[in-house]
Amino acid sequence: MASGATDLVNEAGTSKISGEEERYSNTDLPVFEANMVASMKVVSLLQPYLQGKDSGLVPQIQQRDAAVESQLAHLKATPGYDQTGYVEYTTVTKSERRQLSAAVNALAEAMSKMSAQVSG
Amino acid sequence: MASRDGGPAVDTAQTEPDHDQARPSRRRLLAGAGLFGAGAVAGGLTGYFAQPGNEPSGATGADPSQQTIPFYGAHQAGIITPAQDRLAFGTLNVVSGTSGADLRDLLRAWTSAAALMTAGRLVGEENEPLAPPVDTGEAVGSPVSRLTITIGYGPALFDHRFGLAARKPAALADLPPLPNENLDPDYTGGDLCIQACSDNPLVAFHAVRNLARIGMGVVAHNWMELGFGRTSTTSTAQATPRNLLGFKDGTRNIKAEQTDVLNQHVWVGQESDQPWLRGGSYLVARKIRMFVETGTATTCRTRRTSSAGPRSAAPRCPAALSSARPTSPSAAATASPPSRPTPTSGWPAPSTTAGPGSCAAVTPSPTASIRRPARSSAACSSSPS
Repeated sequence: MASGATDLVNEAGTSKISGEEERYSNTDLPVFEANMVASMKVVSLLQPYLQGKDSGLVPQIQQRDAAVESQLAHLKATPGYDQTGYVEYTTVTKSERRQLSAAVNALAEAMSKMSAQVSG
Repeated sequence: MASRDGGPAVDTAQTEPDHDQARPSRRRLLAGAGLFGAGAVAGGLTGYFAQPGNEPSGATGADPSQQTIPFYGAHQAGIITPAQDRLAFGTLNVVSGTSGADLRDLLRAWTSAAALMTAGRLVGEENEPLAPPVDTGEAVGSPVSRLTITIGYGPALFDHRFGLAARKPAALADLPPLPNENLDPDYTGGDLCIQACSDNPLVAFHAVRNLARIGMGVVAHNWMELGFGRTSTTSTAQATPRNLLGFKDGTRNIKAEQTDVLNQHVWVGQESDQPWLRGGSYLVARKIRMFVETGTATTCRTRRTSSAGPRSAAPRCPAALSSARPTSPSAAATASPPSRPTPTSGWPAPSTTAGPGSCAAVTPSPTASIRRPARSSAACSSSPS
C-alpha cells in the first residue's frame, strides 16, 4: 500500500506533469488530483503505523500535500474545461508546470520513506 | 564508510608544499571544523579558522583522480582551489511556506553531505530494501577527482522571508545592465547557488543532484548548467587554457599564491558591513553566448587585432592553424567580442566552513559559458542564521 501510494504520486510527477498521459483530452488536472486524493487516503490509513516509527513523517507528507493542493487550487475553474473543474491543461504555463512538478516531487520524496517504516 | 570508488581510503597527507608556513596542519583544521561545521553554516563562524586550509590531500604521487580537497577550512573550497576541469552549477529557490528553521536545517544537512561527498564518500550507507537509497548513487565507482562544493546566498535570500534583511551585505546587489546583455528570466537569479567542481563531470553533477534531492520540499531548482573546460587559472601552477574561440582567457587572474591580492580583492575582510561574510567572497555567474561559427570564419588578421585580448592571446594563427587548435578538453569562457552575456545572478559564498567555492571559470557548452570573475556580484559566505 505504501509503495503504491508513492507510485501514484510519482506517476503524477512524470506522465501527468508532461501532459503526455492525456495528450488528446487535455484533462490531466482532474486525474492528477485523483492521484493525490488516493495516495493521501493511503497515508491516512497507514498513519497509525507510522506515528510510532517516525513521528515527523506524516506531518511532512501532509505539509507537502498541502503545497501540491495549493498549486492545484490556482488551476481550478468552474465549470472548467469539459466540466472537469479545472482549466484545460494546455493552458497551464511552463512555469506553473515547473512549480507543480517541484511540489509533487517533494511529496513523492517524503512518501517514499513510508514503506520501510510500516514494514520495519 | 566505504570510499566511493571502492579504492583505498584517501590519505590525509598533504601533497602540495605549503605556500604559507603559518598554515596550521590540516588535521587540526579538520578537527576544529568537525566540531563547529554544522553550526557554522547556520551560525557564521567565518574567521574561526585563521589560516587558509584547503590543501589538497592524497598520497604524493598517487592517482590524481583520488585526490580530495578538504571541505572545511578558513574559506570555502572551490574559490582559489586550482581550477578543476568540470563544473555543475545550479541555483535554487526556496519554496514558499519554508521557515527560517527549515532553511537552517537544510544548510546543516548540506554541510554534512558536502563534507562526505568531497571526501569521496556517499551521503548515506546502503539502506533497507524497502526504502529508496539515501545517496542518489550515480557517482558510485567514479573517483572523487578533487571535488569541491561551494554554496552561496543570492540577494533574494535576504528579503523579508527569513528575517535576514539586516544581514544583507551592501555590496550584494544586482549588477548594473551591461552592454548587449539579454537576460533570460528563466536563467537569472536564485536564492541559493551550488557550485560543484571536479575533474570528473559525473561527480560534479552528482554533488548538485544529491544536494537538490536533500533539499526537496525546501528548495527547488531554478536553473542549472554543466561546464566543461576550465577557463583561466587560479594558481600559478596551472597553464591558461583557451576558450572556444581559441583565445587564452584569464591569464591575469588573481592566483591562489597572491595572498595579499586575494585579501584585497577576493576575500571579504574587516571592511564588510557584515561580519558573517568575512572570509567569504562574492560570486557572479554569467552565461555568455559565443558565436563560434563566426569566430572561426573570421580571418586571422581580424582575430588578432579585433579581439579584446593582447596579441599574445591570439589563437592558432597563422603558424598554428593546423596543429595548434585548442586541443585541450577545456575551453576558457570569457567574453570575447562576439559574445552576448545572458543571465546574471549573484550569490555570496559563505566563508568558513560551509564549503563550496568556485571552480574558476568553466565553459558549459559551445554556445554558452559560465564565467566567474573573482569579484563582482554575489557573496559566498558563511551563513545566515
